[in-house]
Amino acid sequence: MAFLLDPWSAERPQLGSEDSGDAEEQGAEVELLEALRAKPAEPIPAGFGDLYVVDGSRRLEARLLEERPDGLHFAGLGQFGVGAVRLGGEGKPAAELTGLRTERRLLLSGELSSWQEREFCLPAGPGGSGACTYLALPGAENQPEGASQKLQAEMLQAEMELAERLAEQSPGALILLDGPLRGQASQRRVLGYVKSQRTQYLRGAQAALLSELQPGERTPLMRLHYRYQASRLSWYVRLASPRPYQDPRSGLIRLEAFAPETGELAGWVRELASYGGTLLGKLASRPHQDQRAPQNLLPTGALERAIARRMGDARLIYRRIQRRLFQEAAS
Amino acid sequence: MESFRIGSVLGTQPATALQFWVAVDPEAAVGLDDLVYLETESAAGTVRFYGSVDEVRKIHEGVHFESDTADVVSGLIPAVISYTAHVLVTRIEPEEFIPPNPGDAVWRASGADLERALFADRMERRLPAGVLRSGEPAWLNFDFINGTAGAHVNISGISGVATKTSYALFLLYAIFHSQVLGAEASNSRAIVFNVKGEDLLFLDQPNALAERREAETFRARGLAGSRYQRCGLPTGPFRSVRFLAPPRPGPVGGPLIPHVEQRQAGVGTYLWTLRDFCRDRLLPFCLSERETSLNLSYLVGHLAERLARLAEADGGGQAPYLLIREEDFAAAEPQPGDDFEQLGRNTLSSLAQLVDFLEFKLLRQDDGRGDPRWTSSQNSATLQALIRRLRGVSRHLAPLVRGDVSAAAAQRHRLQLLDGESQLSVIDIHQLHSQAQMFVVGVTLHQLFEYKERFGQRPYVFIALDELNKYAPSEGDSPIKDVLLDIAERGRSLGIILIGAQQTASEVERRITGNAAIRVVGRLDPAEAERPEYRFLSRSYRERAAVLQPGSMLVRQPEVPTPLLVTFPFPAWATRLSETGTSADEEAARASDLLS
Repeated sequence: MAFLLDPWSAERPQLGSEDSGDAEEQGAEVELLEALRAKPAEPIPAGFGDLYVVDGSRRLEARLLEERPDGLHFAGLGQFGVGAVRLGGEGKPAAELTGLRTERRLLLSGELSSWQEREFCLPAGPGGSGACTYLALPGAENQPEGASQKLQAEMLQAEMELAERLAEQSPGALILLDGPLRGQASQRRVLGYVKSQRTQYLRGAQAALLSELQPGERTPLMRLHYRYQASRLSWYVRLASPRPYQDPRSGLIRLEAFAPETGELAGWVRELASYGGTLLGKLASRPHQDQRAPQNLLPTGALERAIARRMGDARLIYRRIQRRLFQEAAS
Repeated sequence: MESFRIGSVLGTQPATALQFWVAVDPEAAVGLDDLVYLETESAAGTVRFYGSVDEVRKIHEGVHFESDTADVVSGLIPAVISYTAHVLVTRIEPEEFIPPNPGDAVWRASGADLERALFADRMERRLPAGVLRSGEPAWLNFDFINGTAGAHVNISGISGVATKTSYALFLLYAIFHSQVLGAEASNSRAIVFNVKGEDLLFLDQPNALAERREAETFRARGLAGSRYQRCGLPTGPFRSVRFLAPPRPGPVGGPLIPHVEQRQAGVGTYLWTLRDFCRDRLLPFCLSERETSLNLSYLVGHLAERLARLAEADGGGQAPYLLIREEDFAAAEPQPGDDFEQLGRNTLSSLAQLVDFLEFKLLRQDDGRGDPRWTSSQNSATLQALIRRLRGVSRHLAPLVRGDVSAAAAQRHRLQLLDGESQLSVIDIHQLHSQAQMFVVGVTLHQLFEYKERFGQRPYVFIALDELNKYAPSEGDSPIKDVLLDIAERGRSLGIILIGAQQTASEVERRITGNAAIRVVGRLDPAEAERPEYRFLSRSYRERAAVLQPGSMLVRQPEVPTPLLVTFPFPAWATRLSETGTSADEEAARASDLLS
């Protein structure tokens, strides 16, 4: 048996945020818009404006169980954070964090029953640690992973909202959103950035092109038609050659943008596709910097650390949850 | 002055009662040696901490790898510059040794807070020691200099860069030109040995460059005025100085001309008569070399005693020369004009003749057996060694120890350090051979010490002496080292204050450096700074000492737990002829005017 290494380690499952290879994705109808060959990366045009890299991360801080008359209910306390890194165009050299926010949720299955508090609060502790409030959020599935999935959905929603908001605030800017695009189609300059490739949009003989791509090069543009979702434009870009021990899809990312179902291809997408390889090549991480290199971009890594810092120390929070529940049990 | 917030106590490093880190506010600038304070609430009430910054650092926060720096600069990765400062606590009021709270606001100390941080509020008599980086004066507690609580100053540093002598002179200037001496001001005296060049022979002349350079220095730091003003001192030369130089070597009986090159007027000469040399038992000071054996020093002591008896009983009265009655010894032919009374006797009128006489007594008399009262049963090898060495030294001492001057001249040129009007006596020894320098310094200090032993503590005498490693090396014994040890250990009660300096404290007798209450360090050799003699400085200060600029000194005093980095003003007195604003020709012309 010959195994190759999947850089997407099992240790950090990006549940749902990545290309999940689900039925709907696989059911997409792929329409090639250009000839099937590798396209070189063009230089970034002068006057390229701001680029926002949007990402989120989440953390289930405690799983809770609740005995109710109708049986056992799964719940959880979790936190998610979203934010963006603004990379300045000409004359604005410093990267800066923006839109950073974290939220705490008490994730409950089913409806919010009247006796339940609307929030779960950890009182302020000694040494200046503030109170932590988890807002109750019903609607999680009543199963062990239900709370986690609900939290994930919340985070994705927040990411998308942030991306839309940034796009609205700075019309010339390009927004790079982590993961595939979701929700309503929009005309804004928001680009989905898919790091791991589970779904194969290019199949059979077409797939061979993926192995042939050199760093910086891209595949032809594809239009992805779905039965229930808005159609999207997509293409693959190779950031780096895979190492001999890696799967040939390592170093490959897929970009996508909402595409109007009919009419002309949005001009900015075609333009971007020409120099996207150059741009992303600059942002790609190097193997020593990130286990998920090169796909996990440097600003994304920095953003993840900033969000983790904002979320606080998980062990400390877990202690406080323990203490709170202990006090309740004791009283 | 208004208090200025610089940041808050850092929460990611432990804060203790003695040291803490400060997260510096973005708009604040904190540097080494800045003085800060904070207030923290405790069960006992409000506690105020005062301290000084001994380390400052900045780092990119939020990045993992060193190469990330380039990515932050190019705008790829967002990062925050974290600016932190480490504070050593100097004072806690009240003395509740609790740690401050992370997050407590930290303020820059100025005005009264600054004085409290440096304990200046507890100093009854304050001597300016220079100015701090902020431009505010730094104070020394004069009680730790004048002997009330401690005495002596010791200065270490590399020659040429450490500005040891300049700082010693600044301290002397401050002592005599501030109000710190009070009623003692008019009687107190200082003695400075001029060891190098003629640097100190113009102390009474204003420095033409001083005001301009001083103003430039201060303006460059964005401050108004001068460091003299900040220290409360006038800007000017030393007010009351006299200069004494050894006589120029010349023929026997020749005129006494001070042996200096640049300064033509206002320099006196000093010498010892041969009679004083014998009567005051100065022979041991001729042999200050380290390797003097026990036998030899015993012999020298014995001979000094014999010579003293000779000087008292030769019948020559107060004449500078000595008279001897030894039939077989002929030192010199009688000269025309010799006193009739003295005919038939031999006169000893030079050090060389004295050595001849000693040789006769020890090695030649009685067919080479010597005079047993003089040889004190030492074997001939020891006796020969002594004569050989005396012969060598006497050449260098010839201009200084004389029997060929008139009694009146001898009286005029005798070193009388405490009687004169001048506050500061500069004794020039730079032209002298090293052995003669040792003799002058040793004898001067010895005679001063004896005088003060008789007449008590007041008035104070300050002695500035560089190259302590030569006069009081860490190994070996010599009469001059004994004198310096006496001064270091008992000078405090006798009012003799030593402002000593050396390149390397490790080479100086530890009891001398150790007895100095005030320790000062200029630029140090990094290897030297690691020696135990400098442990009074914490590691970060020892590292600093290796990069100090000329004019910057680290000053440590007993009351203040942390050393202070001070700069002292550019000398307001000329340190060379060119700085007086007159050329050498003008100086010569002025001298000839005075003579005519």
